[in-house]
Amino acid sequence: MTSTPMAPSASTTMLVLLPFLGALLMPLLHRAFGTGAAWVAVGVPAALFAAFLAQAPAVLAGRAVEERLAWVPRLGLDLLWRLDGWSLLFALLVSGIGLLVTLYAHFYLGAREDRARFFLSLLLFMGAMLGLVLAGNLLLMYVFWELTSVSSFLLIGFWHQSGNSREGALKSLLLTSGGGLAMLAGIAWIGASAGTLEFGRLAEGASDLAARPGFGLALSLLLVGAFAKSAQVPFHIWLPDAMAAPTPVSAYLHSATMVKAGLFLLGRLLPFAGHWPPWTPAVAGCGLATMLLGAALALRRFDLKSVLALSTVSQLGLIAALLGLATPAAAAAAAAQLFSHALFKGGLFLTVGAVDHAAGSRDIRRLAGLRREMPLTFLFSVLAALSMAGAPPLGGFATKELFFAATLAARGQGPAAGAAGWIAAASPWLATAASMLTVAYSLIFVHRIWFGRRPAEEADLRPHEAGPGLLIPIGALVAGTVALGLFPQAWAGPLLRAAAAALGGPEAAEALLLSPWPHVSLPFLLSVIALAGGVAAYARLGPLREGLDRLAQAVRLDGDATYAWAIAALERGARRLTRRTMTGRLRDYLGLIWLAVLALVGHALWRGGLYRLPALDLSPVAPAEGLLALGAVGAAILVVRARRRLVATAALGLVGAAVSLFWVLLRSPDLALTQIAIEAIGIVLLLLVFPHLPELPGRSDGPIGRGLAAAISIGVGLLIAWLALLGNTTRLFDSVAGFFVEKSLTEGGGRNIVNVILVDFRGFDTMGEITVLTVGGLAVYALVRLRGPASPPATADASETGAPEQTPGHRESGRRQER
Amino acid sequence: MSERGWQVESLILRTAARAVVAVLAVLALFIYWVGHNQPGGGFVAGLLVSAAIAVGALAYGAGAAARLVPWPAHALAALGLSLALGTGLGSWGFGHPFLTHGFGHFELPLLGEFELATAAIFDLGVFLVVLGTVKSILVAIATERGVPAPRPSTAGPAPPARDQATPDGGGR
Repeated sequence: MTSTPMAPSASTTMLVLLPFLGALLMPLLHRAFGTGAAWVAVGVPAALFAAFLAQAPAVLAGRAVEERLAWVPRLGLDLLWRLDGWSLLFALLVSGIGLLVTLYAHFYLGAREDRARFFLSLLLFMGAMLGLVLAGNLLLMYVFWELTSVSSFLLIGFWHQSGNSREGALKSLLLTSGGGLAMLAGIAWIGASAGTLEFGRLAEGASDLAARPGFGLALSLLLVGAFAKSAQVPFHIWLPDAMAAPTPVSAYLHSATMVKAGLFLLGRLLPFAGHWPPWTPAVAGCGLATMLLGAALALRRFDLKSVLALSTVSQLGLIAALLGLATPAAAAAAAAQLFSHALFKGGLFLTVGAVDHAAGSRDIRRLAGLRREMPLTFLFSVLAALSMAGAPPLGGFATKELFFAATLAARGQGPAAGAAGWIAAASPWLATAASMLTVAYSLIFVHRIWFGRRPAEEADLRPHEAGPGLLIPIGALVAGTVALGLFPQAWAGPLLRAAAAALGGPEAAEALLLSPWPHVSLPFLLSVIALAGGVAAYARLGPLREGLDRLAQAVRLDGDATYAWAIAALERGARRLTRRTMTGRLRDYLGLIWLAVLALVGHALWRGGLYRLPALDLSPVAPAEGLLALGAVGAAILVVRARRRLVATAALGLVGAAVSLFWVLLRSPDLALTQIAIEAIGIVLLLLVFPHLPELPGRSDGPIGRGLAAAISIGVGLLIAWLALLGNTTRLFDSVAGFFVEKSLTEGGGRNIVNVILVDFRGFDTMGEITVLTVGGLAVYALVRLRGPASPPATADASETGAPEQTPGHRESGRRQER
Repeated sequence: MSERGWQVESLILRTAARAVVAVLAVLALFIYWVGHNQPGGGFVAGLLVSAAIAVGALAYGAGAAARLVPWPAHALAALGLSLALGTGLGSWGFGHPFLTHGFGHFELPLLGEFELATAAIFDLGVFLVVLGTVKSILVAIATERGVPAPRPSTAGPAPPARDQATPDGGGR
C-alpha cells in the first residue's frame, strides 16, 4: 500500500484534539446548562464519525494517508498520523460506538451523578484512543496508550466512594501501565536499533531488523504490553474487576475499544514481526489459551457483567490467536471478528445496563422472566447473544465461519515446523471447544434471564421497559450485527477488506468473504458442532459449573490471589524500606544523598580515567583572593564548630559575604547582587526562627556517625574541588563564552550578558527553574499548613521541626541557584 | 500572634524600616528595569522586594508586611509563570520557535530612543515568581502559629463492599 504524504495540514491533529477540547469544556458547560451539556458530548463523536467517513474513500481505495507535522526533525520526533484500513476501522469504531455510548450514558446516569466529571473522562478517553489508533509512530502511540490507561482508571473509579471501584481502577492501572512500561523498553530498543519508530518505515526494513540480536527481547516486551492491555492470560485478571465501572464505560472501553488496543498493536506489528519464528507460538498460543480460559471462567460467574467481561477476554483471545497465525486468511478473519465483536458485545453490555437500570439487579440467580416486562430489550438481547454464539444468519456467524476457515487453512498455509505447526494444527479443535463454551454462556442472555419464573423473594424487583434513550443505542448496535449477517458486502465489506489488506496484504483482502447463509463445508460443520455442543452444555449448566469450580480448586492457580499477594508484599517491602531510610533526621537524608553523589560521580570519573590531573593552567592568585579564601574557609569551620547558634549564623553570613566578595573580585556584579540578597533574606529567616529551635548541639551521633559524616563531607569537598580543576583544564570543546559575548548585543539586544543568557539564550532553563521555585514554594506552604497548631514557642520542643539538629546549613534548596 | 508574628518591638527598627523598605522597593524596580543592560534583572529584583518584606515583618509584624504587596502570593507566582510561558508561546504565534525574543528600538516622544524587548516581559515573569514564592514562604513561616488545624479528609461513608458475584444496587 503506498503512502500518500499530504501537505502538512493540521486536520487530523484537529480531529484528535477535538475530544480533548470537549473534555476541557465539560465542567463549564455543565455548570451553565446542567444535564443538557451532555449533548455537546454526544456531538463530538458524531462529528468525528462524519469526518472519518469523509476520509474513508481515499483509504478504501488502497492508500494509506499520512500526515506529518514536523516538531524536532533532527531527532525524528514528528507528529505523524497514519490512516490506513486498520486504523480507519478502529477510528470508526471509536467514534461510532462512542456516539452511541455517550447518548446512552446521558440517559443512564442519574441527575445526581457527577456528570461533568464523567463526560470529561469519557471524552478524554475518546481523544486518547483516537490518538492511539491514528499514531504513525510507536512513541506517539505509546503516549496515547498510557493516556487511555489513565482515563480508564478515572472512569472505572468513577464511583470512587465504593471500595470495589477503587480497587478495580487501581488493578487495571497497575497491570496495563506495567505492561506499558515493558512496552516502552521494547520501543526504545526498536528505535535505537532501527533508527526509526515509524510503522511504515519499520515494515520496509523488517528483515534486517529481525536479524539483530535483542530483537526477540524487544518484541517480547511489546507483546507483554499488548497482552496486558488486551487482558490476555495471565494479565486478564483486571478486566472482571473493571466491571465496577458504569455500564456505558464497560461497553465502550472494556469491550469495544480500549481492550482492543493491544490487538491494534499486534496488527501494526504484523507486517514486520509476523515472520519472526516465535511470533505464532507466542501470540497464537497465548490467544488460544485465553480463549479457552475466558470462556470457561465466564460460565462460573453469576453477575451478568462479569460473564460479559470474561467473554470479552475469551473473544479477545480469539482475535489474538488469529493475529498470531499470521496468514492472510487469519488476518481477514481477525479484522472481521474484531468488528463483529464490537457490535454484539457493545449491544449486550448496553442491554445488561438497561436490565440493571430497570430491574435493579445483575445477578442471574435473581433475574428471570423479564421478557414480559421488557420485550424490546429482550429482543435485542436475544439477537446480540445469538450473534455472539455464532448462529446464522447473524453477523457473529459469518465472522465465526471465517475464524474456523482460517484455523483450518492454517494447517496448510501457515507455519509447519515446531511449536507453531503444532498450534496451527490444534487450533480448529480448540476453537470449536471454546465456541461450545461461548454458546453455553451466550444462552444465558437468550434464555436464562428472560424466561422462567422469578423466585418468590425477588418479587420486589419491578422491572420496566427501558426508555428510548437507552433502547436506541442498543438497537443501533443490534441492527448492525444483524445487517452484518444479512448483507455484509453492502456496507462493511469494503471497510473490512481495507483493514485486512493493511494487516496481510491484498491476499488477506481477497480472503474476506462474508456470507450470511451457510453452505456445506468444514467450517460450517464446526459451527454446527459448536452450536449443538453449546446447547447441550447449557442444558447442564449447573453440573458444568460445579465441575469447573472443582477444577479451579484443584489447579489452585488463582490470578486474583497472586495479584493481591504481590501488592501486599510490595507494600510490606516499601514500608520496611521507608522505615529504614526515612529516619526523620535531615543529617541522614543529606548523608545518603551525598554518598550517592560520591559513588556515582566517583565511579564515572574512574571509568573515564579522569583521576589523573592534566597539566594545570591556573591564573595566579592575588593576595586579596587568597586572604578571602582563607577567611571563607575559616568561617566555614567556625560554622561547624560553633557552640552557640548565633555564632554559627554569623559565621554562615561571613561565608556568604566572602563568596559575594569573590564575585565582586571576579567582576560578576549580578552574581554578587544575587548572593548578597539571598544571604540577607536567609540570615533574617534563620534569626527569626531561632527562638523556636533547641540550642546547639542537638542530638549527637556516636563516634561512628560523626566519622562517617566527616568522611562524606571531606569526600564531597574533594570531589567538587576535583571537578572544578578538571573543568578548568579539560578542553573537550570550545568554550561557548565567545558566542555569548559576540551575540549578546546584536541578537539579544542587551549589554548585560548574564541577563541575556538567563532570559534569552537559556530562557528555557530559566522557565524550568522558576517552575521548580514555584513548586518548592507551594511545598513549603503545604508543609507549614499541614502541621496543624504547634506548641507554644517558649518550650524548645526538639521533635517539633522534625530535625533536632537544625544545623544552620539547612536552606530551602530552591533558593540557592548557581548562576 | 499570626498578625504580629516576628515583630520585634523596637522604635529604632520601626523608624529605620520605613526608609529601608521604601528604598528597597524602588531599588528593586530600578534593578529590574535596567537588568538587560546593566547588572540586575528580574531575579535580584524579586529578592530585594522580598528582603523589604522581611524587614517590614521585623518592624511591623508579618501581617502588615504581607500587605506591602497586597496581592496573594500564589497568584503572583502563577501570574509570573504565565507571563514567562506566554512569552514563549507568543513567539510561536509569530511562527518562530518557542521562546524567541524580539527587541526593537523605538522613538518615544519625551524619552527619545528607547529599546523595548520581549525579554522584559519574561524577566517580569521571573520577578513575580520570585516575589510570590519568597513572600509565600516568609508569610507561611511567620504566621505559622495562628494556622488552624486542617480538617480530616472528607471521604464520605464508604458503601459496604460488594462481592463480584452479587450485582450492584439499582440505578447502576
